[in-house]
Amino acid sequence: MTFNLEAEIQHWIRNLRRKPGFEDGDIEEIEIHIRDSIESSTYNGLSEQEAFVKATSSLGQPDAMSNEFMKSRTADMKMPKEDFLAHNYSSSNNPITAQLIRFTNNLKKALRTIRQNKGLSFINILGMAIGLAASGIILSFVHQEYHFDSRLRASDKIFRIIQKEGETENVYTYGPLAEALREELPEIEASIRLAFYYGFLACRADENSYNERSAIFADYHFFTFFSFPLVHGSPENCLPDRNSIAISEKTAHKYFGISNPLGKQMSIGHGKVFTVTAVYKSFPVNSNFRGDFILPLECISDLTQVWIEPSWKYESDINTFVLLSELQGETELTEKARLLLARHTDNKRMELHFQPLSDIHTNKLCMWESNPQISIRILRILSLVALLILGISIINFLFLYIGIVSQRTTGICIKKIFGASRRRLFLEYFKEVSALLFCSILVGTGIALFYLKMLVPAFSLPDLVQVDASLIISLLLILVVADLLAGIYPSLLLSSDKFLRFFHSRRDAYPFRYRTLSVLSILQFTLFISLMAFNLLLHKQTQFLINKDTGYAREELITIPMNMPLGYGVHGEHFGAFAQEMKKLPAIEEVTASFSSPSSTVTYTDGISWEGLQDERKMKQVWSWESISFDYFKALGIKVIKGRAFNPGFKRDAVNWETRECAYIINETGLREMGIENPLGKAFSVWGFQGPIIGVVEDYHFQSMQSEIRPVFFILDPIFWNEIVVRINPGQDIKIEEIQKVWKQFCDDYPLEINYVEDQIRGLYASEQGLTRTLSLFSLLAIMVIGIGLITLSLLSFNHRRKEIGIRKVNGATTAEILRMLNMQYARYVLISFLLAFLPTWFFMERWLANYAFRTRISWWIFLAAGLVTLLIALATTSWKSWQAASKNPVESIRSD
Amino acid sequence: MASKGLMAASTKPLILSILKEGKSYGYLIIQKVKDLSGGILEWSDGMLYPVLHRLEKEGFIESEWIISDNGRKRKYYSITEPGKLELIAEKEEWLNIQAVLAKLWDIIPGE
Repeated sequence: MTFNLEAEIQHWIRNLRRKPGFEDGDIEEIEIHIRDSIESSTYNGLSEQEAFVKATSSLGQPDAMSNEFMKSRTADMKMPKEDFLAHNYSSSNNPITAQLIRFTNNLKKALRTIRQNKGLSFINILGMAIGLAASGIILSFVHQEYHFDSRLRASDKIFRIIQKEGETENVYTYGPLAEALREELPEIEASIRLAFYYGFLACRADENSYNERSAIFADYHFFTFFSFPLVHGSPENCLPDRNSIAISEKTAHKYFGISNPLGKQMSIGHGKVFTVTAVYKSFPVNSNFRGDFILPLECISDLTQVWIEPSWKYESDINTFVLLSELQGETELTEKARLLLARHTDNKRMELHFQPLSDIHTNKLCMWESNPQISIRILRILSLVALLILGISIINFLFLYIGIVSQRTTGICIKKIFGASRRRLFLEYFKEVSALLFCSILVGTGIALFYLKMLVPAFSLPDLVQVDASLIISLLLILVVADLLAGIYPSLLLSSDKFLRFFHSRRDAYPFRYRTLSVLSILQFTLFISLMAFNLLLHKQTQFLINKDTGYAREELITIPMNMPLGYGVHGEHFGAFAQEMKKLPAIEEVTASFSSPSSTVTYTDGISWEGLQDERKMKQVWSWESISFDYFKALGIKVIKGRAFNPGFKRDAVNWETRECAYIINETGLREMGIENPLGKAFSVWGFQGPIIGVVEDYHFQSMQSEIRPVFFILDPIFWNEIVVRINPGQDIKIEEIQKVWKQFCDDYPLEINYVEDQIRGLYASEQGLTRTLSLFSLLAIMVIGIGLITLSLLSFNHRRKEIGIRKVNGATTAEILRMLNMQYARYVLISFLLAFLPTWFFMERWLANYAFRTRISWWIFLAAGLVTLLIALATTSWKSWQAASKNPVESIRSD
Repeated sequence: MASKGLMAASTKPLILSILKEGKSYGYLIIQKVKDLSGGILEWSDGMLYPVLHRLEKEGFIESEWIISDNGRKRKYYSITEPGKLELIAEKEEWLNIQAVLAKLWDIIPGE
């Protein structure tokens, strides 16, 4: 019988394979060893049989080998690998390596857990990441809103002067006040006067010519007082004389392209030439200041109708800011300022208050600010939303993590049996949670960056530019607290003996009572419904404001900025001729002029009186005013309900500066305010101009509908014209070229601009829409977090009921029946949540709408829609899992438990 | 022939030292030990593999299957960074023991 080497090897290997202790690859490795050994022996002259015997005998007895292999496998059971290694390394005097190995081992282990539960861990990380990102973004936004202009040097010592007389407060101040405060009060180090001008300025440089509508007229030391960064020029020399101008970087690009604009000429209005002496970085979004140009206050009357009274006779349209040398009690300073004012004026009742710079943005004090304000209430709501999101994320994270871990209780038990202390187990879990949170933070940072880089520019959402130490520290603090909350609780719970006993008794696969899950689900559904409903209401209210009838023919009106000084172009005596020419165009019905566009007469004045007005009511009268031309009411489609409109036939209708006389027209609200039956012919006076009331017009919305219709009086004075108001024939297309042609005949060198009143009305609610968008986005994030939480809870509850489902199936329930049963349960939760959410949300909505003078109704469909969407989402998220649970082979689910 | 206890203790530094020279597979490692020791150290071939596996589990060495030029698949082992550090520690220990014994046995004259 010949020796068959191959058969012998196979036989020997087969024999070895029957022994325990070998793993994949072990046998193969040994087989190769035998072949190597045989090859080398036969090469040295041995026969195949001799070589085979030598190779196998030197390997040793199969049983002994099996023993050794087994030992090598189980060695690590006694002492977990990472501890073994770390121990060795700390003895090898290399703590850094040891630390490194520990860290990577922990991370590896956490990753292993994540890999083992891919779906759940992914959900867990994503939910926490969204929660962290959303609350971080919202809190940063809130922080930013509270810290306007805080980057300015000594910003906490800069105050704005508020004049307070009785109930009325305003920011208008006396021309000489700034100077007097600085000289007479030692506490005040510096002061500055500013006038924000939002009328039109026709600007030209080289070939570029635009209508500009945001300029700041300021005292010469603007940039030394406010440390806004300059791109070109020096703060000390930014406005050296009355012919100099500082422009924003954006404006510099617009007019001069990439070339350095310093020293270049720019003409404004009718031939007033200014030299660019400084270029500043455009004001950031978190500034109270808006303005593309800064011009010397001295030349304000050359360019605009604004007059700064240099004496203490009356106040002018200027803000006064002061810089205190050190912070001190406000009451003392207020008293000193009052005395100062009393020395210079005969008004003994007026007080001066000091408003901190950071307070301007959030404190609605004045009728009119250079930058839209935000109410503290909204910021509080936002903070609440942020904390809510964070809280929900943490709770969801915690529950899901415990859910995941409780699926591998065997490991914990074995560790316990081998003597792992509670402290060790605790640390192990805590590390694992921290690793998960670390992943969440990374993903969350990604989401936040996505928000800043992609969403902000795309949807004009609030940008975040105010990043300072206090914000970063608070965010880090939140992270640490979140880590502790989300880490300590599950770690304590999972490392406790109670938990293990729990596991041991095998009563349950989840350490919470089933009711806890139900309560959490209902809580989240309730929040979900409230947020949805509130979002819908916000949207409805904004649409309502935009679409509500303003009381005039808004769709048929356009306005053209009258961007030239009185007496030039179409302004003043030429206006009649211009209107005549325009009316010849087929698309144009009426041409008239006014101080502001019909949609936004944001003028206010006090000092009004009329025949029979009692003195004590005099103080309270704050009216709006409008200077119009003939045919204004006809053009707008507003009825004159008493008396008549201004008429060229009556010479005394227009304002006469010589005799200080004029005629007045008032609106219905004004008439109610006066409280008299027949106002016609009654003497009315303001600013020292006397005259009779000649007419009353019906009310219309000349301002944003956030506020009630105010009393308004109309005068006729071309000095106060800014806008040409044109009523167009809706049946005809307006041709810009035709208007351009007429315009060129009168004012060749001024740019023509056409604005639709409809667009302006939408613009009034831009901040509303912005807010709606912001709140929608943030609640959408909250909704996502809640949605993820719901998935979590449903998954956990299915795990919990796995056995029950199995038994039901065994007893003959069909998949469809079980599906219905499980979904019905969630439908019930949604119903309960709906009932819970209804009243508080309604109450909250009522309070919110109370901010608006004109408000939409809280419709039943808002709640219905919110409820239905919630139900839909709930069923969608649970259905796939319930399908899985219900269609599973019952044998598996029962046995596995 | 070295005693069983000493053999067991020396496998780790031996394997790590051999692998420090470059990656190798089981049969070759055994051959190398035999050649170097001139037969003083004679392992049972079958015992090497469990040791290799344990060292791999401990992270000192790592393995990969490589198909060699003659088409045979072999499991190659190579030393890892922790392995190199471990070898340094081992070396120190062995040298310390050796120094003590050498003094005792007057191989190196005592002070």
